[in-house]
Amino acid sequence: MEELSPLEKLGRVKAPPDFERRVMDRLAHLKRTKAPAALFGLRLSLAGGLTALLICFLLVNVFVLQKPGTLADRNRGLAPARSVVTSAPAGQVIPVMESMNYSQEVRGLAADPKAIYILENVSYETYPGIQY
Amino acid sequence: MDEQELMSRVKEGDEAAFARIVSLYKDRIVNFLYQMTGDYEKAVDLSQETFMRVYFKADKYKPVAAFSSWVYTIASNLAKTDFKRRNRSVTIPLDDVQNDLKAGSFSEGAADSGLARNLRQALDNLSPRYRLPVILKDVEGYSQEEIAAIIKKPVGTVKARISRGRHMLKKYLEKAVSGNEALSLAKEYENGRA
Repeated sequence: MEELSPLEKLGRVKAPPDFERRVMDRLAHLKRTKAPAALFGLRLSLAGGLTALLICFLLVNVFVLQKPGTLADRNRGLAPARSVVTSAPAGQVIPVMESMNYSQEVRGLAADPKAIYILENVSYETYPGIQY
Repeated sequence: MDEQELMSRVKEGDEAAFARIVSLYKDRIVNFLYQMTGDYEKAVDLSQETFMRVYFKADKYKPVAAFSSWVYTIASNLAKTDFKRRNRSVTIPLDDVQNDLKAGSFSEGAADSGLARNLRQALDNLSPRYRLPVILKDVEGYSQEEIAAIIKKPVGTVKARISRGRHMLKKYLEKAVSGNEALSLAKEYENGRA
């Protein structure tokens, strides 16, 4: 037996006669406006991604990667501490992996009064008695 | 051509297939949204938005469930969103809801009576939480399983909400009207529906 529903007494309404035309008009309008909006969104996201990459690159360079510093900087305590070796076990050869730019050394100390450094190449051979 | 085939064409951008879907569902969706919102113009507007989503989200449709369930899910979500946005809850005091036999309505077919108006007002007073499953069941004629799929809740929850919604509706009607017609309606509601 079919149940009676009091809500059926509410009656039903129908869509207005021009409903389909209005829907199709709205569809055409949205199609026209959605494509440029999507393109703009794509451009915006690409620009955002590139900006984020640039910021990451700058942060890594400034805060993570430090320059080794010069000898003068190290003496003044400006160079990274990890590049200074204070002691080593006896008999162990410690390789020094530091590149030196002497031109900067001279230029850096030139600001000190009355200090002149003359660099002269005394030999092309490496003396084996000296170990770093 | 069945609905699944129409949708596969809509996915490819076929506007003629889309127009066919609109033609098939427009009255059902407008009526459903009218029962949900109680506002015909709003119902028409939300129905248009529903069909726009059907078109632009067609690629999201998976033919595992009935197409109508998917359309009703979109429509009911829009109705709920609209309800939250307006936060209207017209809250007609029950004392103000009188049985007015001269009242008008948008209804077709049924008598344009005070009874219909009282039903409308009682339905409007019902929270969307209960209104949605009650309308889907009693107006749209969906099964509890189908309603569960539409509102994405367990069948047990749907059953409970329908039962509770009907009970609240009956209480509203009992309070709202004093005429014999409404009382018989309330009794019909209590006894006639499992």
